[in-house]
Amino acid sequence: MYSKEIRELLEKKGVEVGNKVKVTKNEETYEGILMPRIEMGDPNSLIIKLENGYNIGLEFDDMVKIKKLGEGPKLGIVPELRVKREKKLPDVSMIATGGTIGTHVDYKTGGVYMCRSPEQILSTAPEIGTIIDLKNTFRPFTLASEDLTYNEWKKMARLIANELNSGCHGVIVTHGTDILHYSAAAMSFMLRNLTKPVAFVGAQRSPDRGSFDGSMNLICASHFTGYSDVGEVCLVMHGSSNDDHCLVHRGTRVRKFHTSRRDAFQSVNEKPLMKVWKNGKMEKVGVKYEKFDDRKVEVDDKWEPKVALIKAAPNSDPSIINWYIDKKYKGLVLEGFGLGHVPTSTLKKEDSWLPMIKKAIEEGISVVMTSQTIFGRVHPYVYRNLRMVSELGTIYAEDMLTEVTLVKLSWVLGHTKEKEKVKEMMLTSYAHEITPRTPLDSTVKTIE
Amino acid sequence: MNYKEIGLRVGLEIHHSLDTDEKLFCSCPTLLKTKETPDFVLERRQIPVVGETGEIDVAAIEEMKKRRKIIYEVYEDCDCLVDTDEEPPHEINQEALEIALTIAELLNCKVVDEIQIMRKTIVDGSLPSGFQRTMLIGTDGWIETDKGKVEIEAISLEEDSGRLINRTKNSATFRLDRLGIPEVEVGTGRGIISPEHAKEVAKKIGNIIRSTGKAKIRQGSVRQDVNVSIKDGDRVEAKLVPSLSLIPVVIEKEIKRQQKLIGEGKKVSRDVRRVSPDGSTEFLRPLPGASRMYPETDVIPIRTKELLDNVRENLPETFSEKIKKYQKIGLSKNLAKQLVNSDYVEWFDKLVNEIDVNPTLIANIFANTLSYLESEGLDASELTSEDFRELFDLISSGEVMKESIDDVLRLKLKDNKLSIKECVDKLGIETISEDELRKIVREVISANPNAPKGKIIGFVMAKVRGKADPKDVIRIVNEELDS
Repeated sequence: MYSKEIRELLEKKGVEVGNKVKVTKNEETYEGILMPRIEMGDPNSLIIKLENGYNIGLEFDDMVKIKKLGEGPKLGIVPELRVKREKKLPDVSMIATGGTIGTHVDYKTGGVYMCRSPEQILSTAPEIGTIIDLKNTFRPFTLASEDLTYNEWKKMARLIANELNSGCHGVIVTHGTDILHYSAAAMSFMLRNLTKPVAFVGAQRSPDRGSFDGSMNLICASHFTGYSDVGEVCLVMHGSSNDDHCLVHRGTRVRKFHTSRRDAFQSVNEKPLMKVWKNGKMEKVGVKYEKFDDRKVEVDDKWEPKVALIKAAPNSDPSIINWYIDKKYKGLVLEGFGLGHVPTSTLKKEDSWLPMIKKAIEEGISVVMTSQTIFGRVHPYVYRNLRMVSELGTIYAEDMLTEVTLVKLSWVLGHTKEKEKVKEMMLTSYAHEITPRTPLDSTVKTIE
Repeated sequence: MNYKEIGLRVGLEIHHSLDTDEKLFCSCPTLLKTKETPDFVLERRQIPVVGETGEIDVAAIEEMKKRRKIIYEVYEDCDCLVDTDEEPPHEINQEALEIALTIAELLNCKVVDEIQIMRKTIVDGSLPSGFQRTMLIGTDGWIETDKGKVEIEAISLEEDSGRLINRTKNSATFRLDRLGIPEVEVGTGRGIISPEHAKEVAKKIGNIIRSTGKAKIRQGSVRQDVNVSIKDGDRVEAKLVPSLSLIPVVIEKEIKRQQKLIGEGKKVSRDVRRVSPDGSTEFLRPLPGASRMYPETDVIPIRTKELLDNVRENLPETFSEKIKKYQKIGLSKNLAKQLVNSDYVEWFDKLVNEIDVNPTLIANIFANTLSYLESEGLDASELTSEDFRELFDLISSGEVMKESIDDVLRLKLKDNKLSIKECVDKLGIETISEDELRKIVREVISANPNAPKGKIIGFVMAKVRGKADPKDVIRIVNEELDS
């Protein structure tokens, strides 16, 4: 937004953003369109779009004179794909929740707008209309993914279930990528008896550019939700830096591994379910999955919000756990080192985490251990230090991802607070989040 | 031809790569292809970004399905995630920014208060992002020429695009080494009054850019587009005129082409035209409308005031300062003057410090030999700084004598495929050893037993011209005659 001085002058002169203007400062004259001030840069500089397309910033002072020459172009138009229903194609519904995939840049201003409708998102991949019959589109809320809470997850679960129970073959959810995998995990637990494909899709590049990656992700997700025989919550995103295929990852086994690459998402401790190409070709990679069936899905969204994640670190102060005890937390996920270590046999007594873990468990808090190595399985017995932690009653989360463990603990504690029952549920695989056996070729993907 | 009468308007757009350490928006070096095969090959497709009206029709869907495959050749040592559109741009390269501001100052431009970095939509696939980052640095400048002031409409700084390597019906291949290297674009306004004048202006702008000492000097680092229109005709852009000397030819031919069309009652269409080596042009594509540009929100706008103060204090040497400097290293005043007025003053500065050759000899080649060769109709601008480096290395090692420099360069310009060394070999002008020279001297003396010394020297020189140093010839003749 422009500075107060500029806004006052504009008002006085009857000039509005978007108008064609002539600005003079000393001997310099610029003609062009007065643009809105983007968030960055000096709010005391006028931004003028010159006829050659360039924007320039003109520092405002007493010498600046501005005159309206006429109305300018209409700003802030977002294109929309008016979808024609094609009855022969499989029914798929789409839920737009926000994120990069759901933004639009107004080319005139450069302003980034959240798309107001799924139709606007579809305008970046109109081929979808020839792949599936888009039955319903929803926009329950529009949030960057990092701003989502479990309340939105509950809404999401009910919407998805409604669509699947009213005859859809599958559902596509567009979503910001930052916590895409948390949301996919939440849906994996909340949607019980799921037998249809639910695809979470995001984008790492914005839709204003020719290289928008969300376009192929949406196309592949359409093939997946419309035609696959999978009955699970999955994530459909680029399989490499190339625009040729997507990988379908299980919602409880996937994680964002890169801040910006297209192929940021990778499966952990198991291979993805399948590869999907833009032309609809689908190839199973080898993991067994729940098969498609036309059964009724049920929503089980019981939830305990007072669950937190604590990451162990060298020199960390375990008394942070006290804070959670005071705040009446019900569950803690500890992301330990290696096989599931936290400092226990320290030289200084107060550096050990054992007394704090013991206290938390005595206060009735469920404590679950995962590992910051990401890949692999935690183990409660290999080392003495591990045994000391597990003997206190810490639940070792097998080969579950930390993110999934956090989501699952909230969901489990929504059902029971009883110590043994919590442990039993945490170690039961509800959505393939735990596997008893890990194949040799499911480790860190080497860059091809 | 009376150019004023026919309403000739000529505009130049001069693109020049900058010789910075790093690319414009990442820390990759500004190298070109360093090995035969790329380290990675990426396959991408680009979506047509939707029209501003918000309409998409069925035809567009069909068109999108046929999207062309774009292949990128990626080199590990000069491309990173930024180049491959896998990471947002880093902070703008300050060195490039300062060079661009320096050029803006030298071109007397009004520098904008706050530079806004823009994304210019590019649909040919030459940039993996689908847009080119570009920014307007200054407007409304001017340069003084022999035929009066010429306006400089604008100077901008932008990232270079990938190099087109191959194009088929279904795919296009681009090499990404050049992508992201900073380049300035200078556009002229009114003031160019004739085709020859356009050449002078292009040369002058090139000289000013190179006077920063930070312009890339290698083949393809300068690209010139020429816009031509005449009364009753229309604006036509001749893309990528390969040399300065071709600029007037292209303009003359375009004037004739437009006059012919007008004479036949036909309309001149606003086209972009490809330039052939003889200066004629052929249709390439219609002239695009105003490019679609919108702000690059990943890089913050730049206030210029503080930067500009610094740039103004450190402007490059003026020509008279340069002349004084050259006199100090042994050039005559006249030669120093000729040198600063030549196209090669920056190359001279670079090479004189790097190689062990008499500065006067280097200056003579740049100031005199090349213009002499140009007067023979050859285009000396085809010679690269690498060619000169090779030549001077051969001179410094004694493999080429100064007497044969003209011949070597002449052959090189006639057959640019040859390297300098190959030219030297072809001309058979390797130097001869002292033993061989002595043998020749003895043969000449015994064939002309009564000839005076001067004659003997003359006969020997005729046989060994360009292959032996005249000083050596005189010394050995003396020795042989005295013995």
